[in-house]
Amino acid sequence: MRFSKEHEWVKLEGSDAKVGITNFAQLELGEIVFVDLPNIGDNFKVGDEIAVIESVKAASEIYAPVSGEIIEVNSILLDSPQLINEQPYEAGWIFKLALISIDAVNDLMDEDSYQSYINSKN
Amino acid sequence: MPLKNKNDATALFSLHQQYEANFVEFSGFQMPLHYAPGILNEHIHTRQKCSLFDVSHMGQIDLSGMDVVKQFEALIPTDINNLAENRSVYSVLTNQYGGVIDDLIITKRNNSLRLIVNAINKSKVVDYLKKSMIDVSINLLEEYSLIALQGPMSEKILSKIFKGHEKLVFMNGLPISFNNQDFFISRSGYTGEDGFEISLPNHAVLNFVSQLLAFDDVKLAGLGARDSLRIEAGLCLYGNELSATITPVKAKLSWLITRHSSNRFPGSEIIFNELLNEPNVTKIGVTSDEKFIPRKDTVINDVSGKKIGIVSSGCFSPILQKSIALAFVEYNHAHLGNEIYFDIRGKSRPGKVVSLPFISHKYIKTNKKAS
Repeated sequence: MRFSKEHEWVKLEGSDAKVGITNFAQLELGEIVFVDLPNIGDNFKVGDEIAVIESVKAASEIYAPVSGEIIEVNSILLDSPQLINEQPYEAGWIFKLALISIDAVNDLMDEDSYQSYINSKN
Repeated sequence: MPLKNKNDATALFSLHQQYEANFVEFSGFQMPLHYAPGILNEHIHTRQKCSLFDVSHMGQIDLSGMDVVKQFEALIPTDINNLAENRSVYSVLTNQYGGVIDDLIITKRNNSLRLIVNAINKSKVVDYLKKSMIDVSINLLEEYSLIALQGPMSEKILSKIFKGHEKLVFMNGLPISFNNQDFFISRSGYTGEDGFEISLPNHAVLNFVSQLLAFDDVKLAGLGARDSLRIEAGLCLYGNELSATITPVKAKLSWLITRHSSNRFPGSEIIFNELLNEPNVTKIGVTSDEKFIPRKDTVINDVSGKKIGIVSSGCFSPILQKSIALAFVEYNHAHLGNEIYFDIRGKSRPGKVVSLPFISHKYIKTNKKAS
């Protein structure tokens, strides 16, 4: 699993990438009430706004951590957005991308680097 | 550690810490935004059972002196001359343009008036009253805390501690001596639920609150739930639905204008004129079935994309399970059922004008024993 500076996690599944937000991110957001998901087939470049998460406290944009095409979205989140709070790395995944470059995932932070990145922000 | 750092925290600060409060700074006070259960759970608990809110950051002001009622009445649009002892009314201090200096609760007590004003306006109100009244002593009661117990079980819970409060109707109060301390208990609140607000000395509050929290059905709730509860109840918040440029008529508070139009108070001509000729903008309630939250300052457009208003407060309603908002729009777009469009991050998202409150008020307005 790799991590972006925007607090997303990315997991390689073959040449696809599964994406969600980190435990740190869900704690910061608080209780999540809505998730606005992208459409299957949409293409995104790294840094593009790809989804929006609304919590009781604030709205938060999710940016594409890597470039690719949306091949699947976690539509269970439409009715059960709290899964992101409850299981951010499992049932709370948000979307899957068909990757343009596998290397782009490996260029993201590993767990240790992400942990020091969070620590440096606090 | 001292319990109260003046102008920094309320007398319950250490209790809030003990219950894992997530703090937010609110008009100079460190106040609990929510506790461990979170805003949604605290909100729902209030509507189903009973929540305890620390609202001691609000200003409690005592006004006494000759002609205090007459002098104070000259500053507000509400008739208080006939207000009975221990009775309260909600009103606003108006400015010369008909806008609002503060919204407040006024209670008649022992020939004096007790005001509860917004934390954010405390010093502004004290300065204004000093300037506007003659030979009246104006005391900000910093040695008193204010606790709100809100929800359908409030009366029953309080019955385990007090007697007499069950006879009170909405906006009616009662002085009580509790462990030789002076408490004042009023059937009121700002959540739309039945409930009580209790004014009591700072040194007695921790003990009293601990007694209430010993009951399983009583949970602490923070300012986050207080805000979503008052939005569901359609109630105004100063800085959102009320300000120096928003008249009580625009904020749909015409019901509190009970003084005769021959009376004068700051901005009275503008206000009485708006009552006769409809204001150019007005407060509305809006809901949406789409997955976004229309937050404060979100622009509202008509179907053609022309700006017609702005959101003053918005949240996810935990009871309705959808987004709700209070907003100000041009008068001809305010009719029930009208479709409006929120500008959400550049996208147009629909909403509909609905009647207020979003959740009906549960105030006890008639005495059960008398009826």
